[in-house]
Amino acid sequence: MSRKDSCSRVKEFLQRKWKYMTLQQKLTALFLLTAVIILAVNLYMFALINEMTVRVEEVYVSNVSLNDLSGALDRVQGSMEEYLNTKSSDAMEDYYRSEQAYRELMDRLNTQATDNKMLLTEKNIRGLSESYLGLAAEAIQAKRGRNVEKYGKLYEEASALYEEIHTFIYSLNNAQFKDNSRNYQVLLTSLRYMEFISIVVLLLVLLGNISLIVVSTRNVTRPLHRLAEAADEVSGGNFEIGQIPVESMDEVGIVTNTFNEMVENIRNYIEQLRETMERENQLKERELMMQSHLKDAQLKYLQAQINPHFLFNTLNAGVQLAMMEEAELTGRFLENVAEFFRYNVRKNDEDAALREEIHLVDNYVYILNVRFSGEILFSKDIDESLLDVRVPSMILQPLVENSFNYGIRNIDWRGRIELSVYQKENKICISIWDNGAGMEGERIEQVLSGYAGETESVSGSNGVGMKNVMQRLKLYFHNQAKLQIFSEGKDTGTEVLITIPGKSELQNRYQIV
Amino acid sequence: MIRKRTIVFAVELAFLLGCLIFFWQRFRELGRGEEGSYELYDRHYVMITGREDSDFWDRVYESAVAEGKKRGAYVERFGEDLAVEYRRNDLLKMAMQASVDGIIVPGDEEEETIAILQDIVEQGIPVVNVLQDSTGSIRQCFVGNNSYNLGQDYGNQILNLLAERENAAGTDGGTKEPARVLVLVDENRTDTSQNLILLGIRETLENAGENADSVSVETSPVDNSRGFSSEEAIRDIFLKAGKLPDILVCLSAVHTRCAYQAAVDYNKVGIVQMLGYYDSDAILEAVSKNILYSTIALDTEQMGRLCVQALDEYMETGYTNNYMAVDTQLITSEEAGRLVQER
Repeated sequence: MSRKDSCSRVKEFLQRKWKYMTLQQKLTALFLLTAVIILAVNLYMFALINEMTVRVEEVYVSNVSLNDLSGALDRVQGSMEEYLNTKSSDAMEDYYRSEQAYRELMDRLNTQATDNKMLLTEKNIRGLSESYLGLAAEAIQAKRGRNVEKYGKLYEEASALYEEIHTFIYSLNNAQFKDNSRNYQVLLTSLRYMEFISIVVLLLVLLGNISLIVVSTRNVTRPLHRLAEAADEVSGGNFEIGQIPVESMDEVGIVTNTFNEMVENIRNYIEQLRETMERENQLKERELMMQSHLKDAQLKYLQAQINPHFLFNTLNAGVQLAMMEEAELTGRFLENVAEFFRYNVRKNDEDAALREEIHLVDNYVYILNVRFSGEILFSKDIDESLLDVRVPSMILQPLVENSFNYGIRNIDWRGRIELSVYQKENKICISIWDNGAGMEGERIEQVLSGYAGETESVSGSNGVGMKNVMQRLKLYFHNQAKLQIFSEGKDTGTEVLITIPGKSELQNRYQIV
Repeated sequence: MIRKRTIVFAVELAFLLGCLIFFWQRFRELGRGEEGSYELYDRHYVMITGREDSDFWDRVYESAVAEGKKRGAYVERFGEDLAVEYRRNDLLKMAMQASVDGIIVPGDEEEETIAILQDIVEQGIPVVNVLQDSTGSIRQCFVGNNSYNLGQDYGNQILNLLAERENAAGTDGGTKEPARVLVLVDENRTDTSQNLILLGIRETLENAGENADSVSVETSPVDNSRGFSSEEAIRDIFLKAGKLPDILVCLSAVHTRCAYQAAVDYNKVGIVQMLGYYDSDAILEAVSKNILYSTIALDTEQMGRLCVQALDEYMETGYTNNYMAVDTQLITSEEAGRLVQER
């Protein structure tokens, strides 16, 4: 397997590990990593400085050991001289002891040929020392054998060699001292540099750690930022933000997942709500349409009640007959009656201008006056500007009929009916006043509440009574119309007042509709 | 973006690691002193030379060390770094007592020297005489030039000078006096090489038909035993007015330098013709400027190499040549100019 492959596998493994670590574990790992790096670098620096300090301490050790060697050589020479002088066993013992000590020190010296001058000098010192110790031993031996001449000569040779060894040791000591001093200086300088280097290295490590922390924490907090931005969007009402990618399975990852689900759920809920509302609206609309149709039906039904087609056709025939017979009054009468009924037929399913309604009342009053020999005094006070106002058809005639039937029909004095149309406080008022029998308050309430309706049908009227007028007005003007009855009591006359919305109000409503 | 950041991070890390490794290595090397880098060798040879002619001996030593390293032997300049200046024979004894593997030393015919060399060889340490031989000793080999031949070379140069002198005298029409040749000999040298050189000179002159009427060859002993004594002795020659030699022959590098310096100082250049020895930069410079007529140089590189070869040969086989010849080179003014430029 190639190195690249194994590297990528390790990288993948670490990424996977990192992905499934909790936030706490991640932060702890990051802290531990940076702390370990700082610790390792510090330990490394400490080890370096420590080693240098030890070196500084050991710089002159080689000089010390050479001094020891020199001292040991002196003791060998001294003890040999002492023995040769005194031949005492103490001196002998001393000699052997010092010789042993010297040999031990000698054994530390280099024995190999090398191109290092100091080591080579050590080798020479060792070789010379071997020769010296050989001469010294021979001299001691000769002394024992009392060979005066020989030990004297050997002593001289040994002494000369002793001096020479000293020279070698001294020279080596000097060379080493020079070298050590140089090293000492270098070490001291290095120690000073080391402080600077330590600071630089620590700063570098610190910078590295900071960048490591910045990069890692950015990795950790990036999903959090994204989540915050998304939450901000959602709080502003935008649910179309798409799924936030989940990079890790830590707490942020879990929250992001949950957030994604939550946004999705809210979106679904809103959609459902919208659909439900649409359905409700449709239902409401249908209900309203049904109501409207019902009203329409009711209206048509009511109008059907007063739809005398046959009579209208018959009267037209009568008019034609009267015209042929040149009976003008009869013809005019029949024409009025015919117009009266024609209006009924024509306006069966429509509303009408106030002008038309008033015309119908005129027709009706004419018919009545013909019937009852002109005993009805009918007068009008009309605001001409209101003649085009649309009202439900057949509302004035029944009221005039009522005024005649219940007001002035059975009175002893001459009956008067007054129709006035005027505008008051942005309302249109239509008043039908009579000076007839008048009404008790109780009776007025009964009529207005609709209880009086039952008697109307049997009273011989054409069927369109007060109740019908009231209902149609309310339907047409959406409860904005008002029908009032004013009477101060028996024989005081009655005023029926219809109040409908003013012209401007009506225009507004039509525009809305 | 991420790649750039990774690269910066990696560079920083590498720089840091580099620094740490560099300082670790640096501090490991510090304070080691004698344990610093060195190589081990199988044999330890020593070369003992006097303090005079240090330039010459330095070059021989360099060559010997280079050859030794090739052969697994280290050649030490024995006694050089000692605080006390020992005589050559003392150093020889010390080298013997230090049990070195071989000794390279210029010899002489002193009894003491011969005895010491005897002791050394008996101890199994091979000895090679270099430049000067101890013919009476049992040294293994002598590496040097043939002194008689050297004398002949000098003789030929003297003949050249005499011819030029005669030509000059002929044109001047002056009376002919015998030319005076003064050979500076080392008073302390007890080997035969100087005698052989003198013999070579004299026989060459005689063979060329010169006799005592036309040329006289004299020697002037120069004492090398005390420091600076040779320089004083040579200056004395120039100070003895009326007794100036016509031709001065120097047989060592130091004598050559002292002689031409004195000639320059006393304004005797051209009056005293000088034949030099050795080819140091200063001597070559003097030859190229015609302060010296010519100089004869030994092949120092060959000399050092042959010494180590002789010792190795003896160590390996128990035998070696008794004499190994070193080439000499006569350097005249033209050649000196070329050599100076080359160097």
